[in-house]
Amino acid sequence: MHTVTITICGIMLTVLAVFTPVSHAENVPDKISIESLQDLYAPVAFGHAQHITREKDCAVCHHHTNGAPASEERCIRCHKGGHEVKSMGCKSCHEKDPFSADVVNDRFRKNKSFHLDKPGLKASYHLSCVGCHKKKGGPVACTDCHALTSSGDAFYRTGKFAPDPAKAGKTGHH
Amino acid sequence: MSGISRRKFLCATVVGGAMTTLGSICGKGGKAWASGSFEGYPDGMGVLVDLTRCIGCRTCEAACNKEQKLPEPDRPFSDQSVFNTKRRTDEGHYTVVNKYDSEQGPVYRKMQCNHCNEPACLTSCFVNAYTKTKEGAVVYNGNVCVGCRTCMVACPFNIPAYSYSSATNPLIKKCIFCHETRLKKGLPPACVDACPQGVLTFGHREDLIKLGHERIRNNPGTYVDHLYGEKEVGGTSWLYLSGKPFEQVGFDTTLGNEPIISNVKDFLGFVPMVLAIWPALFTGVHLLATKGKDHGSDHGEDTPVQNEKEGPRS
Repeated sequence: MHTVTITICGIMLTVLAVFTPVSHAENVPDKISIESLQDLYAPVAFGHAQHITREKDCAVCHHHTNGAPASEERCIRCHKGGHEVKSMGCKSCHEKDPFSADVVNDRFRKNKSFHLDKPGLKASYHLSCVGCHKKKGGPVACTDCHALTSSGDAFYRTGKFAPDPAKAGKTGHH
Repeated sequence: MSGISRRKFLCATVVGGAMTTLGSICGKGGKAWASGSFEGYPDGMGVLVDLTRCIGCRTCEAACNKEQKLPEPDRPFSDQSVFNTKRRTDEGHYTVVNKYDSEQGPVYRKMQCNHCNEPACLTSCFVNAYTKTKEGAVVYNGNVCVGCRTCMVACPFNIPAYSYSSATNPLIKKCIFCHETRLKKGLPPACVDACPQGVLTFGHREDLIKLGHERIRNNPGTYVDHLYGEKEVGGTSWLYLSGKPFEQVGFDTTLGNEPIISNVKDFLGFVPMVLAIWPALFTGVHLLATKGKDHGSDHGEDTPVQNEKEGPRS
């Protein structure tokens, strides 16, 4: 009887330990479609739960925004206790249009001392994802995460927009 | 007797004058021309290029091709085989990315016009086809270009290309910072907009210099402690950060910090004087010095000593 109770307790603890990172917040989505920038590429079907299981630490992507202490040394000066924000999505802080006149002119004129070098939304996604994938051996080719749309094909001159090999060498000289 | 004194006086005046002019151009007076002190227009824009972020996707090349309506490329922009050779900008490609191998993996380097503060192309152009705009772009006016291609020789970065393929209207082709379609309206160039990796940061040049140094400071061990373009050839609008020594990733680190014009301005200062002032002056001197003098050449070998004695007296 005693051993059975201990075993059951052990199993429950294990189950708790495994699922805690995923289930501690009710509104953590398992799948996220990253689509706000889609144009040349189709949306990314991002396996949020899969990444949580793998990384455990939310701060790897979310900095201090879930209330956990910041992990980077220079951020700790201000965000030692973590500063939780309402919306944890990348796009609530990282601008979709990082080079608009407002952003460019305000960069050094308003006091944003430690957030001067904040990348735009597109750069944030790629620096974060590709940076980590490079380190940990994840997929890094463009089409590993998102498929080219037909406007993407036209832009990169691939697929049905590929240049005619017969005409090669007609433009420019090296 | 009085004639000789006057001649001596004139000669002394001319020689003295010439020496003074020469001295002021050659010597310390040359600093008054002050090239090298121009740090760009106060609101001049620039781009900070971070080589450590580039993954060689060539999206910037595709964006440039589309924005500038360049001819169809030989190969798709997704084709990575272009990295087998070191490419240069040409009439069909205003920007190219080259790959450099290192022990820590490949380093990619985008190249295009660096939009110098004191562009050598501009200063070498004798028809003023180039303009440095207040936004920071170095733009080119094909209507006045005579096709001498001196700018191609003058550019320290080997950027201007020539459209040799055009038999009737060949022109210089180079990156113009998307000046007409974007920069003028306060928009970043197409390559910056397209870059997925945040390699390219658009902003005021003076802000980007601070940002570049801050990025070096905040990421110890990531970057070489140098912002290429901050001082090179008098400063450029495009600035570079690299994790590898710059000379290993295709940058010329032997250019020095003086604008290219400084190498030639002393000499060029002489040209108008030598070509215009000297001939006039010396002709005048010669005419004055030989005024009323019988040149003797008409007389052949007729007793020259006699001529000398009789000639100038009047």
